[in-house]
Amino acid sequence: MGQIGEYFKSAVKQIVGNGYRTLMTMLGIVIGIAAVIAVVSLGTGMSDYVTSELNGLAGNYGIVMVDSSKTSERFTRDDMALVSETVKDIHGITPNISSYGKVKGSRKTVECSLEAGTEVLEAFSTNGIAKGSYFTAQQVESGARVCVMLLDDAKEIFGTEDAIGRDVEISMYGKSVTYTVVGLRGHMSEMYEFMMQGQDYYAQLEVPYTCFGEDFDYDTVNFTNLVVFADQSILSHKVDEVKNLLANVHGLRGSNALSGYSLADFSEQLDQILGYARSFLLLVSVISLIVGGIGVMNIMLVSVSERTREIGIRKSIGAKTGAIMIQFLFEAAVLTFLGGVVGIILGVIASYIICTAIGFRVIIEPATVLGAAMFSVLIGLFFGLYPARKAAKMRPIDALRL
Amino acid sequence: MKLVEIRDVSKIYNPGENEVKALNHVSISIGKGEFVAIIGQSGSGKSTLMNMLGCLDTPTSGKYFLHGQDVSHMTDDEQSDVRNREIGFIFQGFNLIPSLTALENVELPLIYRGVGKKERERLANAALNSVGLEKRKTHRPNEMSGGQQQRVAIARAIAQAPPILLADEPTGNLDTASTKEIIRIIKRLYYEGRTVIIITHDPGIAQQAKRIITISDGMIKSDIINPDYRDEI
Repeated sequence: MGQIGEYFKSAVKQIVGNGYRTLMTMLGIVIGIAAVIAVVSLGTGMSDYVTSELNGLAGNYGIVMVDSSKTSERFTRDDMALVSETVKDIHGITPNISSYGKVKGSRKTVECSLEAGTEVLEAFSTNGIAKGSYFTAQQVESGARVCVMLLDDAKEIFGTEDAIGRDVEISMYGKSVTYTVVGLRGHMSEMYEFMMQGQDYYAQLEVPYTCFGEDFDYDTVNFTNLVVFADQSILSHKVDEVKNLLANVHGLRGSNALSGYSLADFSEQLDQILGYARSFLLLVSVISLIVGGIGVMNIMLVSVSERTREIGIRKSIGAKTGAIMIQFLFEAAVLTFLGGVVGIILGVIASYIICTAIGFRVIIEPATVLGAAMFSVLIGLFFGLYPARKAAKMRPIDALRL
Repeated sequence: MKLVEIRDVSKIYNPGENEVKALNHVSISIGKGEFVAIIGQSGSGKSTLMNMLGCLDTPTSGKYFLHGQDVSHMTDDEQSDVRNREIGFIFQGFNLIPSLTALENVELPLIYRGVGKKERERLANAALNSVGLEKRKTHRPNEMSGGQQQRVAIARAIAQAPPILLADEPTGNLDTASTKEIIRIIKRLYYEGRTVIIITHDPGIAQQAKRIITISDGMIKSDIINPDYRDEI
C-alpha cells in the first residue's frame, strides 16, 4: 500500500510542477463537468417548476367518459355512490356540466361560465373559498338554488365583495332563474389574470347540478362523464380504477366504450418531453467531457515522450511495466479528478446563478455530484490508458539512449 | 560459480544484409569482489556489452549467467527484477529524475523493491551519508554540481546493496577534481567488498582498475591484470 501512496505523491508533484499546462489540460474536464452539473440541476429545476405550476393550474382531477357511439349505457347516481364507497384515497366524484350564460347582479350583467356538480367540485380549483362557504351535500340533494363565484366577480356585478346572501339571475337558453350567492373564491392568480388579459370579462360560477339540471333541462340522472378528484401522484392510477369498476358494473368490460384521462397523464407526457430535452443536453455535455478526455490523452502522450528518459531511468533501476503504467494512470486520474472537483464547484455556482435568475428551485442532488466526480476519474483512467501503456512498454535501452 | 558469466555471446543488429555484429562470440567471467575496467573506442561494442551486463538487453545468441541464473532470455519484468536486485547503475549522464530531491532519487530503487517507508528512508540516508552528501538531501539535481549529482547517483546505486556496481563512463561529464572524487568513492566501494565494473574509453580511468579488458570490433582483444594497479585510495 505504501507504493500507492508513492504513486499518488509523485502524480501530485508532477501535476503541480507543470502548473500552467495542468490548468490548460484540466480546462476541458472542468467545462465538461460544470456543464453536466448545471444541465442536470437546470433540468431537475425545470421539471420541478413545471410540475408544481401544472398542479397549481389544473387541480387534481381526472375524467371518466362514456363513448355514446359505442354504448347506450350511462353513468348514474348509484355509480357515484359505489365509487365513493369502494375506491379508496379519492377525494370525491361528481358529474360535471359545463356551459356558458349570463349572470345579472345589482350593478351589472356579465357573461359567465357555469360549472355544475356536487359539493366535491370545490376541489376543482386550488383557489379556495375566501368568504362564506361552498354549497353542501344537503343543498345538492335538496336542489337548493345556490352558487359560488369569485371575489372579482362579486365586485364586477354587485360593485362590492360583500356579496354573501345576495341574489343573481342566471340566464341561459332564454330562461332566467334566481340563485343565491353562498360562497366566494379568492382573487384570481396572476397567471390566470395574465392569460385573461385583453379579453372580455366573464364570471365563473359554480352551482349544484341538481337544481341547475332542472332549471335548464340537463339530465340529472344519467351522465356521460364523471370527474374524479385525487392526489396528483395517484391520480391516473385512480382514474383507471374507477373506469374499470364502472366498466364492470355496466357490463362494458373489454369494450373500450369507457375512457379515462387526467391532467396527470398530460404532466407525465410533459415530464417525458422534458426528459428527452434533458438527455439531449446531457449528451452534449458528455461529448464535451469526451473532448476534454481526448485533450488529457494528448497531454499525457506529450508528457510520456518528454519523460522518456525518466521512464528509462525508472526501468533501469527496477521499475516493472505495471509500476510505470500505474504511475501514469494515476497522473491522468488525479489530473481529471482535480478538473472534476473544480468543475463541480463551478457547476454548482452556475446552477445557483441560472436557476435563481430564471426562478427555478435550485436542486443539486448529491448523486449527481458524486457521479460527476467518479466519472471524471474514469475519464482519466480511460484516456490515460493508452499513454500509460505506451510508457510502460518502452524498453529501457531505447528510453535511455535519448 | 562466477558472479558474472558471459558465454559465447553475440549481438547482431539489423540481421540480414546490413547486419552489424556489435558483439562477436564474447566470453567473459568476473568473480565476486573484482574491480574490472572494460575499455574500448566508440563503436567497439562496449556499450552493447554494458547493456548486456546490465540486463538492459538480451543477446542474439549465447548465454549470460548472473549469480548462476540464466538471465539471457527473460521477460521485461523479470529483467527489471534482476536489475533491481543485482545491479547498481552509475551512468555518464547521472540519470537522476529532475523533479525529485536527492533523497527521493535514492529511495526510488527501494520503492520498486517494496521496502517500507521507514526502512527506505534509513537506507537512503545511510547511502547519501556514505558519499558525503548529508547536507544535500533535499536538493534537486539542478541545484547540485555534476560531481554532486554523480554522488547522488552512486548513493542510489548502492542504497539497496546490490552485488554488482556497473559504471558506464562515470566521469565522462565531470571536471578533473570531480573525477578524482568519484574514482575515490568507487575505489572505496570496491574495498568494501563490492564487485565493480567500469566501462570507459579513457585509459586513465581504466588504469585505476585491477583488471583491464580491452574490446575492439565486438571481440575481446586482451584481458589482463593491471600491472600498474596501486592499492590505495
